[in-house]
Amino acid sequence: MTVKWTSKCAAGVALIAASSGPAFAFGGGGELVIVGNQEPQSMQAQVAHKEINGIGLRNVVEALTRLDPNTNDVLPMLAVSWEQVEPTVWHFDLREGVTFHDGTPLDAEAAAVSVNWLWAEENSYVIRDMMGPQISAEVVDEDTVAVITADVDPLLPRRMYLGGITSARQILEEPEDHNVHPIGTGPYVFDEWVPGQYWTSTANPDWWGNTAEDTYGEVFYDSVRVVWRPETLVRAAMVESGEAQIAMFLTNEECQRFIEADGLDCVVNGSDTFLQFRLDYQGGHPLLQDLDFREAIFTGIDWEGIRQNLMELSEPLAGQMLPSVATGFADEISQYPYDPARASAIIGELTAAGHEIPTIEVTTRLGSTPRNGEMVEAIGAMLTAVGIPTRVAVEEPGIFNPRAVAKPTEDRSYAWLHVQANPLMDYALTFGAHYSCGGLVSVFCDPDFEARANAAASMVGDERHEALEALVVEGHNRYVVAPVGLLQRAYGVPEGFEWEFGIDHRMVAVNMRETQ
Amino acid sequence: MGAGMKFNPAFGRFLSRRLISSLVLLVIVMSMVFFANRQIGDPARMVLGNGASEEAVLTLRQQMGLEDPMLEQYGRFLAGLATGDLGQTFRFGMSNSMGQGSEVDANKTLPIAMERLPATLFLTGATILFSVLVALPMGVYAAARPRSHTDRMISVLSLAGVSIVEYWFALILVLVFAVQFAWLPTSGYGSFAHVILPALALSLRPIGRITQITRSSLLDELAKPYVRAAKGRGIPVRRVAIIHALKNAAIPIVTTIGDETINVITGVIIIETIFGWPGIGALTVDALSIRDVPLVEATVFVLVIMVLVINLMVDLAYAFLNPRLRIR
Repeated sequence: MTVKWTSKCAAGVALIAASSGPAFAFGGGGELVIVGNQEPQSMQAQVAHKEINGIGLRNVVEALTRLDPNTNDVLPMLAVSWEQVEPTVWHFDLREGVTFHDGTPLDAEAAAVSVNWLWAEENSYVIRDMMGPQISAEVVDEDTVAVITADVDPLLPRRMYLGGITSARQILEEPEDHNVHPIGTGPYVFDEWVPGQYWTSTANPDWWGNTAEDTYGEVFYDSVRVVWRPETLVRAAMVESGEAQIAMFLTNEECQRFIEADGLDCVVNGSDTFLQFRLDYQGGHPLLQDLDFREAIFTGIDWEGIRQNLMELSEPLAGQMLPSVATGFADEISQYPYDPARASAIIGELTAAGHEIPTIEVTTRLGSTPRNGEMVEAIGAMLTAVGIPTRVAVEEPGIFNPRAVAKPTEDRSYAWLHVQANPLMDYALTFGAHYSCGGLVSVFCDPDFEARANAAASMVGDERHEALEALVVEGHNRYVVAPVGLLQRAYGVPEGFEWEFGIDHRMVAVNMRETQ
Repeated sequence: MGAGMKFNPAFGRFLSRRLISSLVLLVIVMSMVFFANRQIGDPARMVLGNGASEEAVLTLRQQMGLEDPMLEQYGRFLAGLATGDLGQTFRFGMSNSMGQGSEVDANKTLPIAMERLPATLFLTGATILFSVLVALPMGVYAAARPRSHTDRMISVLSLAGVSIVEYWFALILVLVFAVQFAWLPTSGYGSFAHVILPALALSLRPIGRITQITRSSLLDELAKPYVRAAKGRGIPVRRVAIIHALKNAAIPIVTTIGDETINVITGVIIIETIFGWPGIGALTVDALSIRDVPLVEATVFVLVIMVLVINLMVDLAYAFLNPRLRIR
């Protein structure tokens, strides 16, 4: 994982969580105000898989496991240990003495109800593409819950981090409240959600982390308030005026301004989200299945130039979708070279051979990432320059989304530029979505490749890494998907604000404090 | 209206016609919204996300009634319009939409939209009140001293007010008054201080328009013989303008105030979003962004009703201002 702190006081920042041991103080820091860019559509446990969907929700809702913000390793949270007792059965030993905010205890029965609710086919759509094999849970004994997968899934402990564990009583007795009133076990107790304005929570004096040796933070703030302002300048203004401590997703210019201003700072960190170019493959126009034509397209575009000039807050990717921290990362490959002469030559040969070069339609989703419209314009211009006709468009989500998941047809020559996330940092997830015949956004279908990917997905340790790495190299050489860059996120904060977070960018208050 | 004062029957008929035409307009606008909403993408896919299977999307579309023939959907929509039941929001996650809790009244869209109405009315009212309090004196002052330096300055300012883009002005207000001087909150809702910046941002255009119309209407009135006669008798121009001419020039001014109130209602969609104001405009944007079709229909319904009510209020104001319309 690459973590970059663009901060005047970065060197002096003391990281305060994972290794800090039991907390010695509780509260006294006043109210923490986080200003995000959008109101949550729901507060159900499923949206906790991604911070942007439920900003701050992880203060209220916890999961069985958590990820180390520095190493991305899986660590205990509500489960203190776990064991794969059978290929498809994992036992999770629950932390003792944990209670939900409604006073009910966290025992195996409660955990099983929550896991079953969370991952049930009819409830899990927002995290389904993160799921892998279907997940269910059963009680083993009072403190042990068995999580069962439909197929072997070595990533299960990591997947358990994605969804929150919430009150079984609420799920069973007041399911409609589950969407608007989260009841978890976290360091903050949900107070109220005033639609259109804010949601608030108050520090939980009974939080297990107040006394546990392996706590992941310390309650400094007495309460947390999450507000939302779609306009970046207003979010930044709220921190500048002292109304909020964190303004999410500043632009590069705003971030620079914060760094240069007195009393302000900007924190930048790489994320688990990458920008990629996906081009129709199997099932699409016949020429798109020609490796030479694909090479012409991939080398006819200056990916690194686009990243450096148009993708303002980003990190380079080495010709593959995930950074070096990922399981399966291939050291031997690098970004596709920009070679317009080679691309033009290939197109010339194909034309001479009687092939009609199809018009490639390149689209992107409105607002998915800054300047993505300019990026598809640049891609279109570069392809046109090497002799490949293009048509580019920025599409509304309602138009873009169905097309993005639709499978190619022979009369289609379609590519999109869009963001994808891989919070598990494991290529098995990427292969499932992008390189399998039935994958959600996959246009690549090679049964042999898929069989090897499935086999790799069931492996562990170095064997898993090497098997996935070989597939990453093969995928790179077959020009399936072109990665553009890894997104960074920038946050405006007051000077002296300390915050430890990983690539998942969790807004967890117990990992924050102010020193000035 | 004083006791014993009666409406002219013609005005009664006029009002009745306006009421009927308002209802027809409401149905036409809402029908346009209904058909437009069916062209902005698949709400089921938006609710379930890209992770959902085609089967799940189809199931949800059936539950939403989106798989029914268009005419059947439209008939249901019109019936809902008549009874005030515009359906259930798609918000609060897929569990509700998938049937669990889908009968919960809290998910009815019209009550959700109505909850946001007071905030929008407060902002609109504050904007128009402030605009009238500033624009009327400016217009009268300019008309009383035509072609003076003050008149020219007021004309330039009012023209600027009409020309400046609200979005840009709103952000400038935040930077100056909230960040630079720290006099006011940047955004949000809850106190009188919170309404000042959004109302200022919205009031620029109404101030400009009302000032311009007040000035020009008053100038026309001040050119009439009765004003010249009054001035000939030594009555000060300002007194003539305020006591006599302003009342006679009121109809175009009231019309403009009504028009500008409607413009403010449409303007709140942007301003509420910028300032985090929990009104119906911000809710409309939010609902559109997730293709929450029933909620979009409910918010537009409330906004259209507001516009129609203002138009009717302007018509009623004519009756007070024009004796020929109200006295038998």
